[in-house]
Amino acid sequence: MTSQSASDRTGQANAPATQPKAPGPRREPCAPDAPDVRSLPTQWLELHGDALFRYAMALVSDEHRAEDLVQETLLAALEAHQRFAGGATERTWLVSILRHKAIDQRRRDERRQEAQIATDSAVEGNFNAFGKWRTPPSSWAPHPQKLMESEEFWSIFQNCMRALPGAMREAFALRVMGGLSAADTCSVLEIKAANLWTILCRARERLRRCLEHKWFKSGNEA
Amino acid sequence: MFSCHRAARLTLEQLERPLSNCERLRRWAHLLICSLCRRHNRQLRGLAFLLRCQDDTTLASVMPPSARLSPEARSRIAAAVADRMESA
Repeated sequence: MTSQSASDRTGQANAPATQPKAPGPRREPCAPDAPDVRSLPTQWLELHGDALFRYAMALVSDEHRAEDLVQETLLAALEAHQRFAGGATERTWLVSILRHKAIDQRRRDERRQEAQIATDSAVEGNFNAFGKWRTPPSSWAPHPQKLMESEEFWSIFQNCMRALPGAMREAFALRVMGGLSAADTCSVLEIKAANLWTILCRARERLRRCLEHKWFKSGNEA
Repeated sequence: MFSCHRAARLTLEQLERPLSNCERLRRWAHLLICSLCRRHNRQLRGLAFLLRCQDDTTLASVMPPSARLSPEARSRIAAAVADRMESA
């Protein structure tokens, strides 16, 4: 494990808007960005505190650690805000700092839980002893692209994300949603690439099954 | 015989790593004859689309809106920020 912090290594905590983003999964713009409204540092806690807390909770799943992360983030932002040149919304900038703080904290945490991958049967449980589907995938209609406008669907989607086991959600949040490269995610979680693939595959399969069960098989597709 | 189980694993893994030529060919051949695995493949592509619509800021929405800073934490953080601003 390297002693160099993620913030130092990428430089994004100090100037996230001007640094190239770490390579990660391809992104497509799906929703317009929030308007870029600059506020005073004294207003950050009021305006962004709860959103930063929820983001931290999604990453670390521990209330006290999440609160500490919000505090560390605002203090770091206070020192860096003179150098914040824009190019991102204020909240995006703060979230970027928080993500790097979370990575640093994850590296420092000696008591961290190892991702439980050996006992998870998210994929294997779908199949019988002959490798045939035990519960065949149902037909998803309409295509998820057409569900983008449905608040009810997103609510179910978020419930399914929350239902992922903590370590699995952490890997998934860093790699797939946080846009961290596979190599960096492995470094942060201290796992091998093959283990990361397994965790992400199982997370995707759990999400698929959850959506199928809670949305597509519940008559919401009509 | 290349089973549905192995085909489904490769469908999932191809989203995380490049498959070898042999793996791609075997999966492709299986999907040609198996409608359930084709459906599984379509579902995962749909899910990947939905995940691309999430980003740093919307990750916060994974937690319910009711998840908020406690009043104690809010006071503590506000005090820490005020201290730092005074000392700056």
